[in-house]
Amino acid sequence: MTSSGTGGNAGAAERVEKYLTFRLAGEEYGIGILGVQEIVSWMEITRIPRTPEFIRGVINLRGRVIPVLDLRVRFGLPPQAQTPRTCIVVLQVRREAGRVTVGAIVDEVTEVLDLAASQVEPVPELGLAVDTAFLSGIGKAGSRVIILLDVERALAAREWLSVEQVVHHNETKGTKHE
Amino acid sequence: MADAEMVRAFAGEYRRLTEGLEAVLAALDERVVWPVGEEGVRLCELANTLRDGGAFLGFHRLSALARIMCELLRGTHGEASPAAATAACRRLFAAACRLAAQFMRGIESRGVEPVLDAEWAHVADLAKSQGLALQWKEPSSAAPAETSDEQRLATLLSDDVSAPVTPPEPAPLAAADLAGVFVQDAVEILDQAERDLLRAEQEPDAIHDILRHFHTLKGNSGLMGYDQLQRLNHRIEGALQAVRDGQGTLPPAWVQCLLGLVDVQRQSVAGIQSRGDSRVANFDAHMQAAEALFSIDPVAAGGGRVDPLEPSVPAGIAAAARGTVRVSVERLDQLNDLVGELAIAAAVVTHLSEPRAGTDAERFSRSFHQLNLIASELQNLAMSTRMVPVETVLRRLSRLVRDLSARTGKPIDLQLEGVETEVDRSVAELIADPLVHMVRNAVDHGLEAPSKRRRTGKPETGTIRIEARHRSGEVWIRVTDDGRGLPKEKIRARAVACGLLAPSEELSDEKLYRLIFEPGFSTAEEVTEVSGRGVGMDVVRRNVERLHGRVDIETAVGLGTTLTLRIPLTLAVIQGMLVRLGAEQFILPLTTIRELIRPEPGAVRALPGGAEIILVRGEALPLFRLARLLRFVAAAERPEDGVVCIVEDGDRRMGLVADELLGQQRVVVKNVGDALGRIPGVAGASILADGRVRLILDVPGLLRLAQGKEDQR
Repeated sequence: MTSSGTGGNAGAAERVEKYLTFRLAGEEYGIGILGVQEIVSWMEITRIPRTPEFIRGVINLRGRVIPVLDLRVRFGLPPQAQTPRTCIVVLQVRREAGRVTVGAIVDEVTEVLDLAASQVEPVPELGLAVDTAFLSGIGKAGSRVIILLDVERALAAREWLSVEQVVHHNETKGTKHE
Repeated sequence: MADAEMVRAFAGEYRRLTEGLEAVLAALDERVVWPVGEEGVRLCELANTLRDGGAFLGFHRLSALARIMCELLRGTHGEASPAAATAACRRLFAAACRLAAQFMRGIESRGVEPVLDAEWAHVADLAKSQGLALQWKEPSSAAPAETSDEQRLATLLSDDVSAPVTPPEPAPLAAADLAGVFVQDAVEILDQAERDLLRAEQEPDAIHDILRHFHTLKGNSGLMGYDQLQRLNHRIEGALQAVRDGQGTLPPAWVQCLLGLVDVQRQSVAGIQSRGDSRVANFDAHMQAAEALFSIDPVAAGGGRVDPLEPSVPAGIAAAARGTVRVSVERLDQLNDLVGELAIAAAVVTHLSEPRAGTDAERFSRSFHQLNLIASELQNLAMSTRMVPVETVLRRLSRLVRDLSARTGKPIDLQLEGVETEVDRSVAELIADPLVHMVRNAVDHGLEAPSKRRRTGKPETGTIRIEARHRSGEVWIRVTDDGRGLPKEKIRARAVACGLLAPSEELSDEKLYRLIFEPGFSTAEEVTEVSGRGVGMDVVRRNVERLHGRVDIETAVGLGTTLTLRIPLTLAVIQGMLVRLGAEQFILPLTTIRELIRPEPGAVRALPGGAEIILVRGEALPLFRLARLLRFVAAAERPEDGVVCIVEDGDRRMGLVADELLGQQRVVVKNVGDALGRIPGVAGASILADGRVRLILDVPGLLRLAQGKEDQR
C-alpha cells in the first residue's frame, strides 16, 4: 500500500478511492475497485464470429458464459500473445438494463492503490495513445503515473452495445478477419 | 409482522368494521332480529373484508373469526325469517363480533393479534354447537409451514365455501414483498374469475365463486391502497350481489363486460409488477361502460342484447407473474433429498481420491459413476421445476374463442384436451401468441357462417379442438377446426399476386400451404376485425422458430384444417451436433438438421458469381461454407473434403459445409452473456465436458446471413 492510505484523520475532508491497477503495453492503468468482481488467470477463450475484434470471445466462469474484451485492441495498442502474467479482470458494468459481467484482458495486475482526490488530475487535452473519452483522470502516486479508466465508458461504449452495427461498420471498412 | 403502514390501513378499515359490528350487536340485543336486507349485505361485506384482509396480513385468528361470521351471515341473510337465526346462532355471532373487536383493538395498538385464549375457547365452543367447529381450525396448530402456499391456494381456489380455512403462514413482509404477494394472488384470482365467468351461463351457481373472487380482489387492493382497483371491484361486487340476490343468472352481456374488466385489472396488475403503478389508462371509460351496463336490470338484460364493453382480446397473455414460479412441495423435497445425496457422494469420492485411502480403480470408478447419476438426476429434477401445465395458456384460448364467437356470430364448440401437459415456462410464454393467431384464423377463415354450414349439411355449431400432448421429446399442440379447409387455388392466386410465386411455378401442396406463413399473406377477401391483416401467421412462424419448433398443416377442402405446433419440451437442453470448423467447434441444433452428407465428386457445382449449389437426390440446394458465413478460417477448402449438413427452417433448406462431425450430444443452453446482445447466427452457448464454451448456431439466423439480409439491418 502507498502512504496515501492515511485518509482517516489528517485528510478527513478529502475523498480517498481505491483503484485496481494493471499494466497494458507498458503503461499503468487503474479502475475503481468497486466495479471489479474478481481476477482470474488466463483461460481458453472461445471466439465469437462476426463480432468486433476487441471482443475476444467468451469464457466459462464457473458455469457462466461471459464475454471477454481485449483492452489492448480496444485502445488501439499493439497486440501481444498472452504471458504467464496475463489475466482477466472480471468487471461488473452498469447498463441501463442493469449490471452485466464482462472480462477484460490485461497484461498484468499490479496492486490495489489508494488515491486521494488531490492525487487525481483531469485528463489533458492531447497527446495520449488512447481515446480520452474512456479516461476519468490521471492519478499520481510518487513518481508513478496511473491512467484512470472510466469502466462504464470504456466497456459499455455505444459501439459495442450493438455488436451488429459494429460488424457492419467494420465490414464496410473491410478490416475484419479478411 | 406486516409492514406498519399496511397494518394502519387495515386498522382504519377495521375501525369502520368495529363500528358496524357494535351497531349490529346493539341491534341484536334490542330487536332480537337477525340483520337482513341492506344491513345484512353490508355486514356480510364487512365480515368478508375482515376475513380476507386478516388472512392477507397474517392475522389468522381474526380471519378465522370473521369466517365464522361470514358463515353465519351467509346462511341467513336475505331471508327475513328470524327463525333462521336461532338464539344460539345469535349468541355465537355476538361473541365472535365482540372477540373480533378485541382482536382489532389489540392490532391497532400493538400491531399484533392479542392472546385471548379464554375468549377464543368460548367462541370455539359456541361455534361447535352450531356445527361450525369442524370447519375451522386453531391456526397455530394448523398449517405446517411447508404446506402453507399449497393450502392457501387450495383455499383460494376452493369451490366449497365451507372448506376448512387454513390460513397462510405469516411471514415478515416488506412493502415490496407485499406488492409481490398481491400481484401473485391477483394473477391467480383473475384467472379463477375468468374461468368461473366462462362457466357462469351454464352453471348459475358459479356466481358465488365469481362474487368471492371480485370481493377478495377488492379487499386486497383496498389494503394495498390501489384506489382504482378497489373502486372497480366494489362496483362489480355490487352488481353481482344484485344478480345473486335476484336469483338471476348472469346475462351474456354482463359476462362479456366482466371479462373485459378482468383484462383491465390484468393490465393494472402488470403495471404494479413492472413499475409499481396500478393505474390503468382509460380507467374512467371502462368504469362508465360498466356503470351503464350494470344500471340495467340484469333480468331484463338477460333477454335483450346489450352492447358489451369492447372486450380487449388478451394480447400479451403471458402470465403477469413472470418473476415467480410455483413449485410443488414434493419436487422441492426431492430436490433437497438429492442435494443431500450429492453431498454424500461427493464426500465419498473426495475421500477415495486421497492417496492414503489406497483405493482401487474399480471402486473409485463405481463411486464416481454414482456421483454422476445423482448429478444428472438433479439436473432433470431442477429442470422439472420450470415445467408448467399448458392449461393456463389453453384456458385463455377458451376465453378468446368465446369473444370471437360473439363477434363473428358463429356458434363454436371448443374442446380442450391434454391441458395437464407440462412445458417449460418460457415455452409456455412463447406459444401463447402463436396459438392466439392460430385460433383466430380457425374461427375467422376456417369456420363457415352458420347458414353456409347448414347448407353443406354440417351442424351449425362449428367445432374447434385444441389438443396438447407429449410426443418424442416434443410437445405437440394441435388446433383443429371442422371448417372449409384451406382454399388451395385462392392461396395460389394470392401468392402469384404478391409475387411470391411465378404464375407458371408448380408447388407441392405442402409448400403451397406453407405460404400462409409468409409475412403479409392473407387470402381473406376483406380485412375483418378479427383477422385478415396478414400479420398473424407470420407471428406464428417467427415465435415457433425461436422455439426451435415447427408447424405442420393438414387440410381437406370442406372438412377442416389442423395446424400442429411441434415444440421442444424445454429450451434449456437441446440435442446438438458438434461440428469442427478449423480449430473451432460449434453446435448445430439437431432439430434443424435434415440430413448429413459427404458430398460425392460432382455433387457441388459452382455458379457464376461465386455461389454454390449442391445436388441432393436431384434437388439443387444452395450451399454455403459455414466458415465463410461466420468469417472463420476452415481447413477444408473443397466441400468434398468436409461434410455438408442439410439444415432447414420451415420449407427453406440449405447446405452448410463444415470440416468434420464430432458427434451428437445433449447440451445445456446458456446465454452468450447479457453484455453482447444478439449476435447474428448465434443462438447461445454451452459448456461442454472439457469445460470449454461452444457456441450454438442459429439456423434461421444463418439463413438470413446467407441471404445477406442480416447486414442490411
